[in-house]
Amino acid sequence: MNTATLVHQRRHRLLVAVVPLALTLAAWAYLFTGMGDYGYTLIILIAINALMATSFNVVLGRAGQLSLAQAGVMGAGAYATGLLIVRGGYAPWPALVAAVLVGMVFAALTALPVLHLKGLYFAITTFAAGELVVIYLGIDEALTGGGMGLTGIAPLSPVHLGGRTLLDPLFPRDMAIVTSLALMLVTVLVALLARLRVGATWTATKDDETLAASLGVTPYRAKLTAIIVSGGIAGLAGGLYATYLQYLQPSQFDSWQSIMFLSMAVVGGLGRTYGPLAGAALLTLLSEWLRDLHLNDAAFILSGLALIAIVLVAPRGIVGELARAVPRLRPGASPREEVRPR
Amino acid sequence: MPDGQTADGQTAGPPNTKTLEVRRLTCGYGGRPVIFGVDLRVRGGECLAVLGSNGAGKSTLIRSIAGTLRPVLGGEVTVAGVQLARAGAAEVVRHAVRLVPEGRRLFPTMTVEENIELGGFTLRSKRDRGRRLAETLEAFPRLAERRRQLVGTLSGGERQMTAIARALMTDPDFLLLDEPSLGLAPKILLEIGELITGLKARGTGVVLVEQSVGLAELLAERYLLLSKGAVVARGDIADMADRTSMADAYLGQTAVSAAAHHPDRAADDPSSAGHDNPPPGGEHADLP
Amino acid sequence: MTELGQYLANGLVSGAIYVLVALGLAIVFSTLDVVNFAHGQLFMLGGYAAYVCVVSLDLPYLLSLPVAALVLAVVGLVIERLVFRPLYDRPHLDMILVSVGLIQIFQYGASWIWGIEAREVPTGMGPSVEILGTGMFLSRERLLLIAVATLLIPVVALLLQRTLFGKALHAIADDEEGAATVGIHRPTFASLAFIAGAALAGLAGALLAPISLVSPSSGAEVVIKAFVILIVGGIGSIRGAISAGVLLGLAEAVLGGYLGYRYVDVFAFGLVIIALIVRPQGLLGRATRPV
Repeated sequence: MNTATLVHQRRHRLLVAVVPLALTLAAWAYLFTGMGDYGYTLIILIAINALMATSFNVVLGRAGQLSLAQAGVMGAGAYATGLLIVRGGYAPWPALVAAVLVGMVFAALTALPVLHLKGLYFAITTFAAGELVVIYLGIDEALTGGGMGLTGIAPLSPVHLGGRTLLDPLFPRDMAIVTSLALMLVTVLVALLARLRVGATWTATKDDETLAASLGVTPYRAKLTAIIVSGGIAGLAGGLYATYLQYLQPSQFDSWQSIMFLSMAVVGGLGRTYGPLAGAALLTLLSEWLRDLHLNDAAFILSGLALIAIVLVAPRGIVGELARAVPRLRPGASPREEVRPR
Repeated sequence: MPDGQTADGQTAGPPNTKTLEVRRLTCGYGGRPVIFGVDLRVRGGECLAVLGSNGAGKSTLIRSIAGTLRPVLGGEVTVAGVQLARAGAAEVVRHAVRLVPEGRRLFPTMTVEENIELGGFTLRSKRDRGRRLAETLEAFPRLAERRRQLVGTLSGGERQMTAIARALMTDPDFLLLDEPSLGLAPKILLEIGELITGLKARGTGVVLVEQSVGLAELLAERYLLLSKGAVVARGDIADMADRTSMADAYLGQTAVSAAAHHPDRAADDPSSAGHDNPPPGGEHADLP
Repeated sequence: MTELGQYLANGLVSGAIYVLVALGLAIVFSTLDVVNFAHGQLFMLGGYAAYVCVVSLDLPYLLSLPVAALVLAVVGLVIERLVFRPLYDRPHLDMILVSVGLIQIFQYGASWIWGIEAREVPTGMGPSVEILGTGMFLSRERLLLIAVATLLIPVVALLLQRTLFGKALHAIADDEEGAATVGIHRPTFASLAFIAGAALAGLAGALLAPISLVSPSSGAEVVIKAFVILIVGGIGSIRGAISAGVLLGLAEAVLGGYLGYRYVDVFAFGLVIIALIVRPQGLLGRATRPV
């Protein structure tokens, strides 16, 4: 891949970024203005799910490692926030920051001993690690409340600016703004990281570890940075979730949740900046709509079908296929050939 | 086998009068052609050398003939008039065409015996497989000694022998050898040369794919030079005009003839034994 | 003493199930080089197949065992053809992802059809049997399960190690191109592997159904245990998988019995992590695959 194609691709990326951004803003505006509290709730759910899908997107989409501990990491972050608030008496905002740190440390700890293993073994170990978190949260009743759950988590406290209350996340509207801002911040941060050297080491490791190593990249370090970044994002999502729901239960973070978030990342488009948002929005709205129709199971079935259909017929995901289609509309531009390693 | 006898005392039948014929074969990967309209023909007892540099399409051609590369994009492959261009590998094997693939492609966690036995995968009855296994092991005493060893523990030459023995399990009329000389010492190459000469004498037709002329000179009557997926020269190997300049032009090896006269320069390269990455052409082992 | 005996007997039951599920998982793995994460849901569907036979169709339980195996064999064939086959030449991840999609379809499909609550499969096999005057009681269903597994596991092991079918699977796992060269058609064997693997899972599900009830989530846990077994036993090692399965079943039952069942999963998950750190090629066997 030479410099010219790289520049060319970046231009495509920018062009392609405009479409989903415009769509997102339009959808956000609609949910904000047209639907009242229900719209805000949807935004909060989509944003938190999109954060989790982003977490998968970093570790799997960009660095090519299938870590199934993500929901467990989210749970660690969520319980860190919840416990610091409920048992530690900390203010919610510092507790939210702690969730990010806990997520990073936790993800690093689960992955460190097995980073050298091949994909399948890595997937299974991280799956086991994620399950261990859920089991521990259920067992340590004195600390976490066990299966009964952890209650009484305070919502994020109001943000004041010059004597005026700027945001009070107790209200769904303001929480929707907080989660949206968090998602935006994380999305921009990840897009930036992907363009930096560290992002290049992720891509190189994903494409061909041996080749990457021969080019001076340390695959081990590349994977670890991706896992730490994705862990921080999952921790943040967990912290936001804890303060939003004000109630936590271990089963909210089992591996089935990981699978749901993974589906969102894949449906949206792995390795794409706006992939997680697209996937999370589609699957969250779909499942909320079906839940309204009292078809809870159908939501999961459809998300499974969507995952399979995307992998079979549109492996680049919604955003990826869009990115391929858009340059095609311009005369003379050929779609980028993606070579995906086995 | 060398004496043309089978274990149950029957002679191997009349000499092989079949012809393997390839007409205007076009094939490649993912619908993108790599080989463009190649013709070739081998009769029983003949050896045709397919020469060309790395990337000329030799393996693609031979794998398409053997049926392990599908679909074929155009043209025909026939054995005694039977169309095989669309047949799968098992069907091609049943029509007595066997491939010894590049890099041997043995089963590393199985024993020598199991590897050879699986060469008879297409044989219907267990009895036939057992009989052919016994015969094949008899013809390869060195492998028979090591029958219980994992192939991973064998030397490069023994692995090549195992790969050939595996192909001989079905007593083929045509043998397709993809770079058998890869990474082997001259002494071992001579052994393999003798083995193939013996097979030819029994009526087996051989297609020998090589990057260098050494083994081809010893075994083949005719040659075919492939470049960028097309035939650029063909004829009798004895008439192969000005070999050095041809090697220069197409094989990318100036030292072919020189190396052929200095076998000591090309040692058995242990790093490439049993490996599918071809070593650089200049390092290639050639026959004296 | 009878308490320990009782635990060990229960451990034998779950160990037998783990081995049956793990062997099916391993068979599929050898042809595709990919684990079917939805294998546990095939086990779960086997339980529901038995439930439908016995409760809805009023068939005898013993008949429901082959029916469950047969139904799941068909399911296995269908998913291989429809979902996995188009992905052979694509990155491994794609097959893992579709198997994850299948988990959702099967699990929530079952929940939609039969509801979330666990279903009982009555067998009418009569009361528990005392084992040779030891004061230890085992239900007839458990005895049947142990008997079937004791007969079936060696048969499957022999099938994989001695027959041409087993050797062909092994060959594909060892070197796909080499297997193609000798005339082994991988897609055919992938279909056969899915048929065999899914049938084993279905049978195991039907065998366990009367003992531990059937619910949509009942496959989730067992497949993880099967992964644990394959890894601890060394992927590709049949003997390793069998001993790891039986040992895990026994260890879980004893641990669970004395410490409480919530620690059972900690043990299994901890074991797989430790195994992968300490000896990734397997604690009890030797993996034939690169780790």
